[in-house]
Amino acid sequence: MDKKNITVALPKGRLFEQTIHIFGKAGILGGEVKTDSRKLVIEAEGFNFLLVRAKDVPTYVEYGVADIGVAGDDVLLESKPDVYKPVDLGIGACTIMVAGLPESKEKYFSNPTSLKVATKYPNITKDFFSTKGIKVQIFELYGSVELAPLVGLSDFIVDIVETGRTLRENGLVVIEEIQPSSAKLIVNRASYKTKNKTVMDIIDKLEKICM
Amino acid sequence: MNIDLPAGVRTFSRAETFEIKQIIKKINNVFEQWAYEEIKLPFFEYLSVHSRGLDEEITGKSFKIVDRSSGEILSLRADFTAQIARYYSSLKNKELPKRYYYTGTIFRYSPPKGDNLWEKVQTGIELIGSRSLEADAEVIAVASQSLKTLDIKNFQIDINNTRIFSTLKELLQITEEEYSAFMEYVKNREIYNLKRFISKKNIGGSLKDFIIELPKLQGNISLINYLTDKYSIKGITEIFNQLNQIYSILKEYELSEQIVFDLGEPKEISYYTGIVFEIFIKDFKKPIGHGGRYDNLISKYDGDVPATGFAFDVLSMWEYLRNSNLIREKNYKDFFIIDITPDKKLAYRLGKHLREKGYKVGRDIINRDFKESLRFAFNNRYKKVIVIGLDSTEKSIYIYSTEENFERKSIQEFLKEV
Repeated sequence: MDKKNITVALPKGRLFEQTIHIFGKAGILGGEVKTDSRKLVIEAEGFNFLLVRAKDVPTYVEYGVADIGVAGDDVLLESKPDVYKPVDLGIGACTIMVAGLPESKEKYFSNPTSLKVATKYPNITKDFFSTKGIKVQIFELYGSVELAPLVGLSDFIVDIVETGRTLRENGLVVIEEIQPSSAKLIVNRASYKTKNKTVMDIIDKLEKICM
Repeated sequence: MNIDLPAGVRTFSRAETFEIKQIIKKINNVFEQWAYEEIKLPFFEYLSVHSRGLDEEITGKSFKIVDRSSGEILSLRADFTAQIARYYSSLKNKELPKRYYYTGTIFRYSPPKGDNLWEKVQTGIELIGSRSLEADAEVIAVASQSLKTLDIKNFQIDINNTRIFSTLKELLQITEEEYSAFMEYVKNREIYNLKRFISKKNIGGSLKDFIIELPKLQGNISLINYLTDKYSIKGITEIFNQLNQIYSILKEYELSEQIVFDLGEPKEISYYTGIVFEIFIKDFKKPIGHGGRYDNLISKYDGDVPATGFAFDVLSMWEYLRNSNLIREKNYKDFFIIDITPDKKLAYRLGKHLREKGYKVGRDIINRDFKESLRFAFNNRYKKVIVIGLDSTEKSIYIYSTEENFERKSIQEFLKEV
């Protein structure tokens, strides 16, 4: 049974702990998986876990270095990898939002032709506004996106919001919801076919507890 | 000085080119054994003509230029099958069946990341004129035999019938927009979204069960038998029967071990209308070929003729064969002639003679110390080096098999041996 020979790409941090917990609950993993913060590869019960940045998980899975992985909708919508997404794990829940200063609300809803938006998600931003026919000037940032409207770099931000605390602390409000996001099990296309039995067993077990 | 290449293209070295050519040669031999004949297709087409046989998506990815004289938009070839459909429509003599094969490059834009290339090397066949499952099976058999010729043993052929999806569309009675959302869920195997879709549309009974199960319906012939017993859905049962029939033909071709059914796999290209397949190798992370039936494609040009075919992704196959050390041939040449006499006449004559006997013969044309020439020859995969004029008499030549080891022979002796 331990000869699974499956490589799993997982994001470091909280999502890793939650995934391991779910794998345990589903009976995919029998015991604890010990994490050493400096280790990038962990072997446990026939699985190889690769610990990578959340945004990098789809790359490892798409190119088949990992057979399966866990990634949020925000990451998947941004990078649009060619992978299967069979199970909604229900963890890492948040919402992808447009946010801004309260006084910017009027501008947003008054038929604007062009908006300045700061974000870590340039593709999601572009896709969302292009269906509305609004031209956006995108400022791609790698962190502390909330700062952009405060200092006048942009009018709005597009970001994921979990509790809304960070927004409130910076005096920002939600302007419009783009879509909810949660973590999905993703599977490499070839692995889905050539390691069908093992992969299907994992999917079945996860479905039982995630539905 | 900038000597860079654009993002989506690359060069292949002499050794790499040789390996790729060997793969194509072996595959094309198999195609010819099955009586397929090669056709050479143009690099350029009118976009308005070529795109009739393409998806919107692939049309979008095609490389376009403007025709200088007419101002019309031209497209670099984005798909061989669409080209062959157009070519067939243009024929006066449409005696059927037609068996064509082709080898070449298709051009499709992809974002410059990873190992994405804009130029994809394909070799494939088209079998025009038959609606029967025998034709579908023939194409799969040709693909399998090609793989066996290349010593690829652990391959699997994932078969589906795209009529499953058109039948579901009718059964669900949904709008085009709902259908494309539905197909997106199917394509990505988003089981949770299929469940939501089904409950939103108030679909129940066995149709509901079948749709939710669809992403997981993968297996050998016993899966099809099981499904035939479990479901009796109008239109779907007939599709199961077809899959069963093609399986029994493929069994005759001794391919039952390699056949996997994967009912949840829609094809990327919308021209497919029936049996489709994709070829995978265990432990290799990319498909190496795909194909299927396209009964409506030719009618987009002229005429209404059923057809089926497939193409190998040659560079992916090469990558696999290389990584698995399955390429044994090296591009050796037989003789390198170094003539240090002033008039070089003997070198010309000897070279001509050896070439006539079928040997690959190169001659040194750079003036340098003959030791350097020797090193060059063995570095560049010459098997033997012939040195003329080392002795004061021209009658004997030196035949080197390494940089150090040589035999001294008279020309007559040497010619008798080769």
